[in-house]
Amino acid sequence: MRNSLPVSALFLLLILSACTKDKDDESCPPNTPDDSLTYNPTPVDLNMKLPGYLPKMTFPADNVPTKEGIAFGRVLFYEPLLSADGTQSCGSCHNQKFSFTDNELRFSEGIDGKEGDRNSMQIVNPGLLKKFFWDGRSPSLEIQAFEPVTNPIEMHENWPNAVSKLNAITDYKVMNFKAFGTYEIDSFSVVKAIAQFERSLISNNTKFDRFMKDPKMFPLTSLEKLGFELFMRDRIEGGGGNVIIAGADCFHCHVDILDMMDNQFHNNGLDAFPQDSGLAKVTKQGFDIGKFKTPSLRNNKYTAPYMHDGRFETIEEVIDFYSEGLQYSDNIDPLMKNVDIGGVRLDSLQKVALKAFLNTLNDEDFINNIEYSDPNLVGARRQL
Amino acid sequence: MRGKVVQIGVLTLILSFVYSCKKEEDDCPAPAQTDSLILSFSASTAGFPLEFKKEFNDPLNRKMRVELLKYYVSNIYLINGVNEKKVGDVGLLTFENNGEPDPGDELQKIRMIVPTGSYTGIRFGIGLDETTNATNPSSYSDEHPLSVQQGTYWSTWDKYRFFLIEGRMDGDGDGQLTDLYGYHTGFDICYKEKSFQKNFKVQKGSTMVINFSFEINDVFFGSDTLDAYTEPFWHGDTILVDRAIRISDNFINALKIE
Repeated sequence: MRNSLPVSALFLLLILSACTKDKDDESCPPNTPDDSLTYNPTPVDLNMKLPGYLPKMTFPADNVPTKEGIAFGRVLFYEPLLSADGTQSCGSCHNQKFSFTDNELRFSEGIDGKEGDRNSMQIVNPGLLKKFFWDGRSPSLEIQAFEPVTNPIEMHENWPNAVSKLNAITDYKVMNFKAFGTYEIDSFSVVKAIAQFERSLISNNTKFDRFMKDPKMFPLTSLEKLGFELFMRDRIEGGGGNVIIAGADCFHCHVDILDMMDNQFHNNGLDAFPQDSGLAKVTKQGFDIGKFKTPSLRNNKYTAPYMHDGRFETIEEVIDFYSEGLQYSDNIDPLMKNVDIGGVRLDSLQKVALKAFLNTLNDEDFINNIEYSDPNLVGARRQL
Repeated sequence: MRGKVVQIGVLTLILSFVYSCKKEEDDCPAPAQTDSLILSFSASTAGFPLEFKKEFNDPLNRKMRVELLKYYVSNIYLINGVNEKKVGDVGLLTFENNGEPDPGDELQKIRMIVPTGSYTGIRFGIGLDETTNATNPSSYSDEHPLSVQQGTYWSTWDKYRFFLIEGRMDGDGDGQLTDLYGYHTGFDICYKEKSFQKNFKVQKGSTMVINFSFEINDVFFGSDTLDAYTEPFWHGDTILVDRAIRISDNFINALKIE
């Protein structure tokens, strides 16, 4: 027994030395968990940040938001290594300064210089959405995040390559461990982390948010109030075309208490003969031609140009379209009741009022929130 | 002494085994109970099963089609002679297309677990009673029939829409269905209840299905008339509310038990 003591001590020393080497040597594959790290992610209650008049977000059971997951997702969202030539990240076409749309561009350009044919959608309060992309082809943020990486007109990469590049970065493996309990990054952990970060992109401080919280303390101006009333009312005609009640009839699709959208698809009368079949590309149903997901009007000031194809450069053009420019088609939504007279026929004061109300939906804090910014630009990545 | 320790040890082992068995038994989830009652709703257009966007003729032989139909059934009571028992709060029945995979006829069914027994009838409302109509949709989970995600809340009036029907018709008689109609009822005055007589039994381990049906033409030309060709819209406002009342009355009267 006594004789075996030196042998045991030597064995122990060998083990300790091997452990120390593992920890210090950067070239060692860090697949063996580092003893100093523990997997103990901190849950984050994102619903606490949402305005109280909106419904609660729900999260996938296998991807509940955590501080570590959001932090990793933020880094990945701005990581150009996800593209084939290392030049493009999610943040390239979803710029925070434009409420995560593409820098006022009508269509985005991929790494090969190819242009898409739909306007980059904003990412704001996406945890309230049920379908993603203009045609709703993706049922979750996680599944949505798979697509741009491999899309030939976007990042044009393949997932094995993308994951391999990420796994070569030790910091990322550590972040993956902290977020998901394993050092090995795979495509699932990448999309999960990005989805967590995206769900954390919460806007909650528009003038309208404050008004909804306490209308006495944060009242709308008379003009904004008129705009809100128009927004929330139908246009009703009496006999002989007399307008009994003026209304812009926005509320059917842009539901105020559902973040100014409705999670539905509509043909809003843009074209008599739609060039882009929209929802029908997914459902293969003729009656879905020309239907697109209702976008939120939150942050409309920053998200120009407008519509699925970015055809309108200004909010004024959008208002004019709904007022006088509707086109009948076989699939136009029955909600577009005034298509026979071109639209809701607002006068110039009503148009100004409606624009004033729409302006209350903008959240400057959101586009400047440092928590949503590129961590490489603010030094946050080094702290992670 | 050693023998006693062993005895106590064995006894403890046996007791803990027995306890664990009992605990397991207590914690054991009850077998999932299947729905014992299904209320199944179907609609017809001019006598044929309602199909999305399929043309049909109204009683005046004019073309129409339905593109959305959605309504609340609430406050469901089972009747047994003079006794009534509430068995359901609210269900939303929908007939629409929103890019979803075809749900078959599941969206036209209300599934419930109700007490076994013999019943002589059923009573329910179309729409929502005043109390439910005043609730906040943000307080419900996304899947709940009263959630704002269901697209039935009417925040202009802080109320729900009870009955929605939309579609198009051949307004100028040229054979093309290019004119739109749509009605969204929903003020408290539009809540209607109806009792249906039917003898049925709900038995343990089996599912009772009760079928209800209505004819779309009766929604427009029923106990009262609401001609979509001359009064094509009502989406909720304080004027022309008689349109909403007429269509609400027509719909409840059109509902039949089979």
